[in-house]
Amino acid sequence: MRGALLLAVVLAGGGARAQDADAGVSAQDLSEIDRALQQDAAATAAEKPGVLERAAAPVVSAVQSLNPELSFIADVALAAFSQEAPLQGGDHDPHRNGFNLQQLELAVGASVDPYLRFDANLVFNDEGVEIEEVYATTLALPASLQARAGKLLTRFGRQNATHLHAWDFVDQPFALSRVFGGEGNRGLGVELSWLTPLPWYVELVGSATDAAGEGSARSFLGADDTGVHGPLDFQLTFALEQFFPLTDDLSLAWGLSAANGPSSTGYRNRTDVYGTDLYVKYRPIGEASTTVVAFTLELFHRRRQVAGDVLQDTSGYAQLFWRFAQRWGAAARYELGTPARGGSGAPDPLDPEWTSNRHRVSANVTFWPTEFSRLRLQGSADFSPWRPAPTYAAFLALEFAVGAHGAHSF
Amino acid sequence: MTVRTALLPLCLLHAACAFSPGNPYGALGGELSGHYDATATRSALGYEVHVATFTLELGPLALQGARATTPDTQETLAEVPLPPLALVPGERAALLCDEAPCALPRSTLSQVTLPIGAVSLSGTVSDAQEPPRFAGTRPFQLEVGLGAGELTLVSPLERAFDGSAPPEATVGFAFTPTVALFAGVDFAQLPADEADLPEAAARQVLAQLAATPLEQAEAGQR
Repeated sequence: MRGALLLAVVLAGGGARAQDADAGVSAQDLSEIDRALQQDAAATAAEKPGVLERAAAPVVSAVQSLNPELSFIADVALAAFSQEAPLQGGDHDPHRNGFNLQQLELAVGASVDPYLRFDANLVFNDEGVEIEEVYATTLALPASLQARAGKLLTRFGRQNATHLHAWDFVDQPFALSRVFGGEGNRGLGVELSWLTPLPWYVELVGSATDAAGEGSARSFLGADDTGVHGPLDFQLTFALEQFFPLTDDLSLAWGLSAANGPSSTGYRNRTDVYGTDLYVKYRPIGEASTTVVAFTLELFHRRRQVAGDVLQDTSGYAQLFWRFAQRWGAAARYELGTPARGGSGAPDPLDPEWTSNRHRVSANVTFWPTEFSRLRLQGSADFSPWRPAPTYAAFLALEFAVGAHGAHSF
Repeated sequence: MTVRTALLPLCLLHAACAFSPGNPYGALGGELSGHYDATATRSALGYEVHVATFTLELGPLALQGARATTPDTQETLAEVPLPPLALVPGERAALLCDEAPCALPRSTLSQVTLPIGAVSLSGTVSDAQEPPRFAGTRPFQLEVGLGAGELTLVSPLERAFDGSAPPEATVGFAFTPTVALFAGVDFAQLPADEADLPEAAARQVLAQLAATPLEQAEAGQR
């Protein structure tokens, strides 16, 4: 096809030259033009890789991938709680009074070959090392399709697929730890996403992942891994993500998510989680400004079959982030979790004490000395009615990073 | 349009959603039958014993076994409340364990235990020997309340509820004491004018009661 096109161009060029001769161009002029064209062609040929070089390109790429991008990101925090056993649900949240190693993350990424990219996030903490994510991403699927395979965070909602260093707060929203677990929703599996050809940004995502994991799928099988006997034994997740550039300075992203999977509560019981997330970002680009104002809202509605009942609850958070100077930002967050209720009064097997609404408010100030470090002071008040008194917490968190780390998505 | 209707297309994609009430891994049903077997009336010591009333107050039937997540730990997984059971003329009590409090987790049952809370027993006894050790017929009765753990019937029950089969399972138990209850009671030695069995005799009856097997039976069989 490409050769045929080249032949057509040459033929068309020959025809044009004949027409020029007919138009009265001298033979000397034609000779000079020919010579100039040959010199251009020679120069172009010298710049382009030869057949052998083109064939060797994947090999070169593969050799280059032996030196992947590496980055280390450390998160440590000094914490003070008003109660001995705070209700911090995130596995990487500060949990105790005093110094806490939240995590040391090693992020590794590189192209494997022209078709795949490798990404991994290994997390070190006081309990050992865990593979938070390791997956391959396709680079050359047709029709705006992209697939990931490996151990991956599902793209349910806005925050779940992100890592600690991308958060605006020191700790995880309790909605995530309550619904999915302290590690966020993740598992071994595959994901396929499709960027639709619509006039605005619309991406559809579907994934099938392991439904077991105490810290990553607690509303599904949790720690009770019953094995895989059919497709419905996987957690199936769907997401619709949309992006609207409202103005040059203001943009909006809106997502809908749903996850369904087996539940450990009984024979063929299922759990559904439905979510929606809204992200509005104001960042003036028409002037020299470092101002960023971002509002995030994320809601989770969960339905769980238990023996003789269906339990339903809603959790969510709303947060506002304001970068008011180049190195300074502030954020505030409100969280709500309703109790899980059904028709028969069956108790919640996961959180039996959660019998009325839980609220938590948090606020923080962040200072970035550079792009590679940040210092964050955060305070929060957790109103959990099943506890005798609210839990107040204060964190002073330091993050510092070295190495090459890819940009995060919008 | 309800929220449920709006979400239905998503659920059709999923092929299964959490709309209807769920199941336990195990829901044990069936019955417990109790019957005093009066086919034989002569006790080991040669007395003719006729039981007129015999009622047991029962604690909850405890289904014991191990959860799949902790296979080495035996525990009570569910309890089935039972009404008092009249063994004369005989009675059946349904085992209703499909409600949430009785629902079984993913587990393997190993045994059931049935505590007896009280025994109420009355009848008459005469001596079949010649010459008789006492003349005529004497009444006797036993009314005793029992503390927790004093008298518990135990029966093995091997059942696995691992999610590979529907949760409903039927099981039957039969408790059929006989005149062997009185094997150790020498009625001639008891006070003639006292119907209540003295403590030693009562202890012998209760010991025999505890030794009576709680047998598995097809539900509906006696």
